[in-house]
This record gives sequence, structure tokens and C-alpha cells, in this order.
Amino acid sequence: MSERGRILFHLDMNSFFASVEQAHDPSLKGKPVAVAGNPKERKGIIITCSYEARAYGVYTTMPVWEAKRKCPSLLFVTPTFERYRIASQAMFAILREYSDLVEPVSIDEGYVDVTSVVNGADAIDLAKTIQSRILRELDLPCSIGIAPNKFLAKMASGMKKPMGITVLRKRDVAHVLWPLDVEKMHGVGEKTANKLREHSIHTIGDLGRMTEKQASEVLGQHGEKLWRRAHGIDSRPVDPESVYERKSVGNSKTLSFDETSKPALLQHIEQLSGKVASRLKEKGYVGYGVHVQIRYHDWQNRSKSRTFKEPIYRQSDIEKHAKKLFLELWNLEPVRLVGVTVQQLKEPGEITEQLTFDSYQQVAKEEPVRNLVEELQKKYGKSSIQKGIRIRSKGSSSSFSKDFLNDHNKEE
Amino acid sequence: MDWQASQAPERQPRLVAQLTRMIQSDRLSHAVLLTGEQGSGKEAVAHFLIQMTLCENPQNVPCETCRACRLLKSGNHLNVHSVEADGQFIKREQIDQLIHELSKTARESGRKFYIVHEAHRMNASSANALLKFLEEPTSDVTAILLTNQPHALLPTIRSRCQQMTLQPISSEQLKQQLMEQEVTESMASTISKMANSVEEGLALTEEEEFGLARRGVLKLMEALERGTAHALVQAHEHVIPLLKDKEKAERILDLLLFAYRDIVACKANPGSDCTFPDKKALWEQIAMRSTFEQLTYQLEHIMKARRRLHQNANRTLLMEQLVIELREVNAGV
Amino acid sequence: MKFEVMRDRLLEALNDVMKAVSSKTTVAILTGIKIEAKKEGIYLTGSDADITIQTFIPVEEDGEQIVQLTQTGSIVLQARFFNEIVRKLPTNDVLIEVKNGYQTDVRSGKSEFHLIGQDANDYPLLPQMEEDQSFTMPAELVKSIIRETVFAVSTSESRPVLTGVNWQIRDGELMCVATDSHRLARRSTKLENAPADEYNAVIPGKSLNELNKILEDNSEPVEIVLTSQQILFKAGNVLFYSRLLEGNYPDTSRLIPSEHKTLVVVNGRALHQAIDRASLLAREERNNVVRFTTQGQNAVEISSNSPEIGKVEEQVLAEQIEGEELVISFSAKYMMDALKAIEGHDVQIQFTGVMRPFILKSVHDDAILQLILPVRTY
Repeated sequence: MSERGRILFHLDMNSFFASVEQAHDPSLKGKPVAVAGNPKERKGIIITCSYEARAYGVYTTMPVWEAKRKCPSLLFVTPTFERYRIASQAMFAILREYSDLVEPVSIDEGYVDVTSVVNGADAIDLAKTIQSRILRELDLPCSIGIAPNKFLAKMASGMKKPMGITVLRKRDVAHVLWPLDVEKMHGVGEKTANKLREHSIHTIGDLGRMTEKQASEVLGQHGEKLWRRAHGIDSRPVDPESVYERKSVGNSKTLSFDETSKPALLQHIEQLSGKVASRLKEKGYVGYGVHVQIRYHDWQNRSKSRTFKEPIYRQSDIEKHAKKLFLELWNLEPVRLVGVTVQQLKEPGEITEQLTFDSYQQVAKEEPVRNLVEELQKKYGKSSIQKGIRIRSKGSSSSFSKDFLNDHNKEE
Repeated sequence: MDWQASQAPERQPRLVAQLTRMIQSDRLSHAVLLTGEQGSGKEAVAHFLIQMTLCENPQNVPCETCRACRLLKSGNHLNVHSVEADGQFIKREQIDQLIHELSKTARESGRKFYIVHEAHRMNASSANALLKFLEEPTSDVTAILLTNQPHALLPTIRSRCQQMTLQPISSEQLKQQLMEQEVTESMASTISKMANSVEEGLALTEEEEFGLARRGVLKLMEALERGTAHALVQAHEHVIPLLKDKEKAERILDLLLFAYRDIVACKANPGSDCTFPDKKALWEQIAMRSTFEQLTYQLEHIMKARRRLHQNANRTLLMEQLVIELREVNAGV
Repeated sequence: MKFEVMRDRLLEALNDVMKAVSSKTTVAILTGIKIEAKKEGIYLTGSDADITIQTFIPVEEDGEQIVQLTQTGSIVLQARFFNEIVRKLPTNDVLIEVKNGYQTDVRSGKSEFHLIGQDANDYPLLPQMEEDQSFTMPAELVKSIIRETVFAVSTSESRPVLTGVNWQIRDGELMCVATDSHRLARRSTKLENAPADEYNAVIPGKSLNELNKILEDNSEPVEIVLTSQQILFKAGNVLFYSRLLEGNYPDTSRLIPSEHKTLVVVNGRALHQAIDRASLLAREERNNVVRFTTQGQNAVEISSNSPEIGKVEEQVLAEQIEGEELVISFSAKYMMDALKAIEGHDVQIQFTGVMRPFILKSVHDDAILQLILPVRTY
């Protein structure tokens, strides 16, 4: 896939939750609307708000009482996530009518590769068509960025909101992007920005004017990536499958003969659980589901899975649950293949485990090691300790987004 | 479910006597596994065991008048709990709820009881939860597990229980019970020889082919009296079409076997019970002119046919040959 | 059985008794309430097997005639119907009469109902309570003891004994403990008239919640009678019985840390409000986690972060912070429950490490102790 010649859209729904609420209840249209957890109570905060509300200076996370003071006419609604999910599905269905290469990133944004659908100049017309269909059919506004790669498309869609269509070519990078604050750059968070500022890098241009090697010295691999982006280079493909990626880690084993002995089969489960545990550890993931697969001598496939509230990653836990599932599933017929998979993976940092009186002592033993790791991370940056691959879509893979990504999974 | 304790002494006299002695001498375990065919009266025995234990003035049977007996019979006794399969399985939540209930102090005086109906329907998770509970019994709880498939239970559960086996229901009792369900006497007599339980028996009355098989066999018996050719024609018309598979063929041979047993019984003891009471006149007629030797010979041929059936002989040929053999003997050697 | 009673008094008594009647029971007799007419007055009893409530309407009170008894006797009537009927009767005089067997007439003014009752002998007997093991407390104290502990019982049935609150009397002190293995609530109360013997029982949390609804928030004495099978609370004309949970309650005293590395004293209400706000952005699937960070000697920061919604940070001024710096995550719900139980103004929190249980108590006294296990994030 060559860098030149691709045409990608990045579509970003404008003020999505608030817009869905306005579409659902037209009397809210044109008015300042805020979605808040508990608007009746003084102490609530704004989850998101309409553009009309933003005009009054209302913003996400602002306390309700403050928002009311800034905008006395502000209308409050409580969030209805099911409604947002349905709207999101409808939006992606429209995108898929134009191209198979649609990559959902979160509930309200996604990339579309339209290279083989339109020629250069017609891209803007196509974007207008999509934008107006989403407005007409779903009553929802969106902004679309058009660019030769994902990074530029994403930057472009953010330039004009709401209802913008922005083209960003590689040759525009120096005069459009470089004057911007480096924190505005997709992929630069607060921490990275702070580190860059320590090196007197304030704008995207400052980053671009370094050498690639200098960037790498400041931020490691991530620095190289950001440097390339500052030059408008990003070769990541639009990958419709990315939502399916790394949602599970599993191993299976075809047995050398059709096995009927329970101890032998349980031993295979043990070995497989060990392998899965060490792969999970290597990648730094934990999962919330265990799945067991059996293929019988007559090629009948059967499987069973279970979801847990607390994360599964220790070999002993995987083994325990996998054995239990296996015994519930197995009909005593000869077995040709067994498999153990840990599912519903979560990225380190977004996992929580409520400790119990029975479990905390073991966990507390690991505390000194954890402190040491944190010290090292502070000193040398996070990548020095964390090994393996991390889920790509930064920041947006919280549980609600996960559910939403599962919606795409179901369409398989 | 109705309280069936009073049926137990009649349906399982030996087991009930044994249980009564154990209760009286306080030798009953805190976990009992009752194993028996469908219809053998497991619920009745379980109910008897409970009532005998809780009754305030038991003699050899519960008094039926004390408060405990009264509450048990009206389903109002708060110390008795039970679980049965919800769908195909007894689920984990059901066992958890049961254990939670049993973890509370008793509301009536005396022990607490629980009955697990069709205990083999516990899935692995429920069985393990119950096993854990059986392993740390609270002092005043008795478990009664019922099953007709003891080997489908976890061996660790079986070994925790005092196991008792119920006698299968006698064919005379089964006949009576079927007749109470409005099955005709002649049909009930036949089915009581073929089935192990009321449920199984009622299923047979619903099955059209079983009725046809019974009628076919009786027609063949009549035809056998009238000549070989006639018998062969009747066999082709009424019996051979029913030999669709090995099991059905086996059932027909069994019916034929019971017909000859009826004849033997008539000859030995004219007042005896019949599998086919509606054909008693014909049986007596055949019994009159047949010798025991001839009848034995005929029974042997039917048994031989049954064996050949299992060696996958051609079923049409097998039946034709059997008809000829039965006639040969009939014609007199 | 035959008597006349004032409708409002009957309704009042029914109201309490109905709280024990469950529509979900599988035992037929428990769908009814037992009515007993005796020389001294009318007894009404309702039960769901776990709890049993009996109320009493005296024949005479403060010189006023409330019940006119013609004939003693007893009957069990369908609770729901009887309650609805009494509610809708036209006058304040109600005549109840059992005729030939179990047929029961309920008359008021010109309206007349004929109900089919059940044999009162089939109704569960009230537990036998020896009165020698007993003590009294004001109703409002019983209520606050319940409020401060019962929220921490387990809702999972896998360890039945944890679904109850452990009441233990020793050395003139009542110690109540509840835990769901994630947090623990403990309340100790000095008894003025403690029973002679030690006592240890686990009362189902559900029973205590029901009791809390029935008791009024006043200083009227409640007599509490203890046996190994049941516990009885007597408040005025109401008797409240509960079954107990069998099995040994775990020894929780060893769970309570005796020393700490970080001590924070903070206004409980301010902390509660800050956590309540932060929890708006905390998701239930992630254990409602909020983060608590000490900032120097005078402030803590409460924060929460949900990538697709946003983040929230708030500073709460502390009265005092001693010892090591600390960043710890915990369930917002557990923390708010604990702060609500302490109710007081200044709360001291003692931490011994980010993976270890921490203690909350009032700075004024040690009567209430709350213990919470943190949430591990990684």
C-alpha cells in the first residue's frame, strides 16, 4: 500500500451524545443541551454538551451548578447509552455502503478508505453525500477529514466542527499543522507534551524541525513515530478487522490419538492453561472470560465459556476455570482436540480488581516489586518496563467502547 | 407434589421396614441416596422417612395425627425443602439457594430435610456445591437424594450417602396403577409385563404401534390354529410390516412369548393371571390339546428366533420360519 | 371466634404484620395471617419463615374500649385479601366472626364479606423464648446499629453466613460485625443491662432491614431476647422474631490492622460529596473505582477517569495528614457507604499500604469502625 495515492476519510460525530438526544427529542434542537449523570443534584457534572451550550462556555466535566450559572437556560438530559449504541451502528452501516474498508475506532468515530471508490476530486463530493445522508437519515451532524493517511485525516476532521469537511494534503502540513501546539497532535497526551516542553518543543513545527534521531532520543520509538507524523507520514492501513484484534489469547492442541481418559485430558488442559498464562503475561494483558473448546473424534466441535467479574490471568485461575468448563462440556466421547482461551482482554492500566480479605495478602506481597517498577517507569519512561504489544486505540477502549466494538464483532 | 408417605409401606415393604428400624435405633445417616426405577416409589419412601422422623408419636408407622404429621400432609411443614430440575438441569443457583435456606435455624422442632429429585440432573457446578455442603454437614440436616441413574452422580457424592435401592414395581401393582389411570384391564395386563413404571406404561398406551403389535400377535395366534398357510398370510399382513427395527421385532417376539406363557400357565393352573386376559378362552382351548412338551418346544423356538434376531438375521425370513416351526409342533410330532 | 374491633386499630396492627408476609412463599399457610382472639385482646401474626411479626390489640387501652370480645378462638385468613378488605370497609366498626368450621364473616356497616379461612393449628408456632437472656436498648439505638452495619453484608449466597450480621455480647458489650469480604463494618455498644451469659449469633441482613422499617425513631425501649434458634425484639405491642444463620462467623478481629503508615483526618461530609461527584465518571464494571492521592500535609485529591467520557479531579482540604505519601484506589460505593455510617464530621482514615485494608473511624470515638479493601489497578 503506497503512501501516495490513498484517499482516507476520518469521520467524527459532533458532540455525539448531545446530538443523539436532540435527534431523539426535536424540542431540544437549537438549544443548549447538556448530558449529565444526575442533573437534579447540585453536585452533578457535565458529561457532554451541545454546541449551543458550548457557546455559553459550558464544557465537559464542568459542575452542573457552574454550567447553570454560565447558561441559565441549559437543558439537562441523563445519558441513554443504548440509544447512542443504536445511532452508532446506523452510522457505520451508512459508511459500509460506500466502502468495505471501514475501521471503527470508537462509538463516534471511524476511518474509511475510499481510494478505490473515487478519484481525487470527487472525494469531496462523496464526503458531502455521506455527511448529508447522516444528517438527513439520522439527524446527526458530523465532521469529515479527507487525507492520504489516517493521521492527517484525523487531524483534518478536527479542524472544522460542527459539519465540517476539511482536506489536508501532505503539502499543507508545514503551514497548517506546524503552527499548532504540540498537544493538539493526535498521539500526544499530557505526559508526552510535558516531556516535549521540557525540551523546548511547543509546536508541531518544533517537533518537525528536529531530526528523527533527536525525537527518538527524547521519546524513544514513540518519538520517531510522532516525528514522522509531524511530517505527514503515516502508513497504517485502514483495517476493518482491527476491532477484532487481540480480544483473546488462546492455545489448542490436537491430540495424537482420540483421548478418553479424564486425567489425561485434564493434564492437557493444565498444559494449555500454562501456555495461555505465559502468553498473557508476555503481552501484559488480563482477561475477563475463559473459553474451552472440544473437538470430538467425529469432528463435532463444542465450546463453552464463562465471564468473570474479576480479571483472570494467573495460571491457577485459568486452569481452575478451564477444567470446570471442560468437565461441564465433555460428554465422555473420545476427544481429538482441546483448546483453552482467555477472552475479553483488557489493557494494563484499565483493569481493576476489587481485593478481598482472602486475596489481599498475596497481592500485597507483590507491592514492593510494583513500587520498584513504578520508580523505574518514572525514571526511564513507561516503555522501558512494559513489554509486548498494547491495544492500539489509545484511550478509547474503556468498557463502554468495548461493548460497542463487540457490536461490530457480532456482525461477523 | 402430594405427600405420599402413606403409600410407602405398601409399595416398598422391605425397604420401609429396614428404614423404620434404622430410624428407631437412630442409625440413619445424614445423607441418604434412594435409587430405583421410575415408578418404584422413591418420593413415597422419602416422604415416609421424613414423616417417620418428625412424627411426635411414631409406632411402626407415623401417627398421622400429631402436629408434624398434619403439617407434612398439608405441605405446610417449614423444615422440609426440595429441589427439582429447572429445565434440563438442577442449576447452581438452585443449590446455592437451598444451602442458604438450610443455613438458617429451623422453624419447627426437629431435623431439617431436603429432597433432591432426579439428583443425576445436577450439573458439575451444582454437584460440587452440594458435595461441599455434604462434606461439612450442619448437625441437624438430612439430605435425601433420589435417582434412577446412580452412576451418573459424582462418585464422591455417592460415597457420602447411605445408599438404598428400591425394588422395581411388581407387575401386579403396575397393572393396578395403570387401571387407575383408566387403561383397560386387558391392555394393563399386557403392559404391566412389558414396562417398569407407570410412566413408561402410559407411554406405551399412547404408542399406536404397540397397539398394532399386540393385535397382530393375537391375530397370528388365532391363525396358527387354522393352518400354516393361513398363519403365514396373517403374519405377512399383520406382523411382518411391524418388524421395522430390531427393538420393535424383539417386542413382538416378547409378546408372542408371553402368549405361550399364558397358555402354559392356563394348563398348569387354570385360574392364573394372564398377559392377555381377553384371549383366555383361546388359551384354554390351546392348552387343552397341547402337551407341556409341545409348548416347551414352541417356547424354545421363540427364544431361538430372539437370539437370531440379535445376530442380524433377515427379519421377514425369521418370522416366516418361526410361524412354520410353531405350526409343525402344533400339527403334532 | 367472634369480636368487634375499631378499624383504624386493626389496620395499624395489620400494617406491621403484613411486612412479614411474602407473596413468594411456597408454603400455603404462610400466605395467610393468623388471628387469635383471647381474653386480653387480639393477636395478629404474619411470617415468611425467616421473620415472624406479631402485633397485639388490647381489649382496653387508657380507659378506652378497643375490642369487644364475644367468643375467643383463632383462624388463618388470606393476608392480601383480608388487608385490602379492612382497608376499604365503610365504617370504623368491624365485626369478625368464624362460623361453622373455617368460614369467616367480616362485617362493617352494611357491607359483609364471607371468607374461607384455614386451620390456625397449621400455622407455625411462635418460637419458645426463655426470657432470662435478654437486655433492652432504645429503639433509635437499635436502628442506628442496624444502619451502621447491615449495608456491608454479602449479597452472594455462596457463603450464607456472610449474608447476616454477627451479634456478639461479651463483657457487657454488644459487638456487631458485617462483611462481604470486600469491606467490613463494626459497631460496638456498651450495654447497661447486659445478660449474664456470652452470646454469639448471626442475624440475617434481610431480617434486620425489615426490623429497621418497623421500629420508630424514638427512645422507647426495645427488649431483645436471645436464644440459639431465634432472636426476638419486643417494642410496645409488636413482637419481631427472626431466624438465625447457622455456621461459624469468621473471626474478623485479625483482619483489622493495628498500625498504620499514613493517617488522614478529613471532614467526612466534604469527602463524601467529592467522592460522590467523582463516582459519576467511575463505571460500575470497573468497580466504581476512584483514586485518592495525598497532597502534602493539607489536602487530598479525589480523581476518576473514564476515557470516553472524561475525567474529574477535586481537591479536598484535610485537617491533618501524617506519614507516607499515598496514592490508592477504592470503590466509591464502599467509601460512601462507610462515610454515611460514620455520619460524623471529622473522620480519620488509617492506611497501611495500597494493597491493604484501611480503617475509617470518627475522631471522637471508636464505637464505629469501617474497614475497606482497596481496588487494585494495573
